[in-house]
Amino acid sequence: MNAIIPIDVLIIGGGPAGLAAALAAKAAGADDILILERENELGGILRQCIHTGFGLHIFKEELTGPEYAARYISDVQAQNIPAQCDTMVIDITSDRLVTCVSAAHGLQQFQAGAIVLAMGCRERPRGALGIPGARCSGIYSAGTAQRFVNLEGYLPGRRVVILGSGDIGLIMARRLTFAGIKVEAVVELMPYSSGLKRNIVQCLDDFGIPLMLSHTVTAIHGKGRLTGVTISKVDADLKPIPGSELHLPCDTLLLSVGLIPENELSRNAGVDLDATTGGPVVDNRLQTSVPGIFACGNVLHVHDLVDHVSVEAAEAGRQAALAAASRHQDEPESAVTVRAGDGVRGIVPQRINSEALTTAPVKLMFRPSSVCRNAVLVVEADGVPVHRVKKRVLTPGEMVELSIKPDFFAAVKPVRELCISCENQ
Amino acid sequence: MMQRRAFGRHALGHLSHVQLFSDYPMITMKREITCISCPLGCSLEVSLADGQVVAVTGNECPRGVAYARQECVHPERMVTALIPIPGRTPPLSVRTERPIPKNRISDCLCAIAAARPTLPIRIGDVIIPDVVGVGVAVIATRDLL
Repeated sequence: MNAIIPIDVLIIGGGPAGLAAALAAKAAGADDILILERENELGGILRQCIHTGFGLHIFKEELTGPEYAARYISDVQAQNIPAQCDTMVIDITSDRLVTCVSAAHGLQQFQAGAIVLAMGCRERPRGALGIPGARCSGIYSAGTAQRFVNLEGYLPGRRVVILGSGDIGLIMARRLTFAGIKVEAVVELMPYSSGLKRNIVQCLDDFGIPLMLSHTVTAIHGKGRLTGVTISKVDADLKPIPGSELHLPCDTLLLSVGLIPENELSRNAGVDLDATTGGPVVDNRLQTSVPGIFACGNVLHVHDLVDHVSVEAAEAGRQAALAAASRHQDEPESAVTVRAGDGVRGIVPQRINSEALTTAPVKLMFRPSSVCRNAVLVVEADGVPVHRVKKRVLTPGEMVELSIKPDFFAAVKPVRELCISCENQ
Repeated sequence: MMQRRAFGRHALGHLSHVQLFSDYPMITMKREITCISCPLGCSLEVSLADGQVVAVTGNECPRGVAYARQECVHPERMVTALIPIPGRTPPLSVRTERPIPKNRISDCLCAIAAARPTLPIRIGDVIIPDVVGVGVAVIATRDLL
């Protein structure tokens, strides 16, 4: 076994979050940075997202995923920030000892001054849905199919049904149609789609692909290979309605039913996780419950836009560089807890340093629990409403950003708990 | 849609009885579309005459009208596609440099499928200079060296 290698800032994952974090850490003065990446090249999930729509906020251009990634990768290379690909991190401890394996270097251990968790997320698999029926081949998550088509050069099938109307499923409906595959329908359990309107119009409506809202797959048929699925209408409690069954012949079923932050390593490190976001609990510096370990991107909470990931990750990288330089990694002396009230879920960050709250604006990110028109977001400090803001429309498919400003607290100081809720008018 | 449009003023303009009614707005068709300008996703009912938008209802803001004018008169889309390179993975990913008319997507995909680019290819390299005569290039979106 090799000697333990000391490193200032170690970044776990070379996708959009890891790349932006590395660049920001460098800009904040860290010199000794290393990116560890599981795949054989940098870029993360962007490598397989060959459709456009990336970079509208940061570059004011409509780029594809590989192009967006390439800009960050060339900056990382220009800054001489080392990245080790084909490397799987297998353990992180609470005192920041990182163990990884690779064919090139065997087993390695790094003692990091600060760590940025940027591992991204996974797709919810079939097992998480409990669909009864045959265990035949031909059932993939939408992202797996995307990888087959866009990176490996295989088609998953000839006749496809997609369960779930998340954006990856919608994007795949168009990609498969372009490849000459018949997409029979997109089936969505909820009465609304969690995908962007733009994707529903340009990926489904453009090609006449039906979007069946309030429907779900209730049986899977096939021996060896999938031969069809049974679709049922669901009631207001999302329970299948007997008698509404419809058989759809197909040889492929794609699942686009949600993403889960990939936090196995975070758990090993003793990082507290948030049951709603599935990611670490962090403070306004994006530091987790373990001092010196920061989190950003989809491992923290699932984002809609990569541009937002890059912005968030840059802050995590900057904070990690500062923490590594100062070795000042104490818990903030007094922290304000941020709580999600009615109509709101998954607020990040979950804690705010009391001092930070009264000196500069702090950005909160969250989602509404359901589609709200003419909504009012209410900020309460220890039960006292301190700010109200009107929103024309909020949907769970689009993350909300809310800036918490020091002047909200002119009348109420000091604050121990902030509560954000959403009122429907 | 194209058939109905043929009965517009231009097609029948030489007939005197049509000229009598030339001041009347001729609503030849109505279309329902979803506005994609914001998450609200208004359902718009668009009235078209002579292929031009004459009325939009269902929009909650002026962006709906602008979207309807674009989408019903000159709908355009970015096209992204893959070109398999024998013996190599991943396939080459490409896109149109700008959006192209929506009704040319299929032709554009055929042209891309017929392309046989030679390696090495750099991100941004032009693969087809003017795809299907719409004045837009198809460019590579990744390196394939």
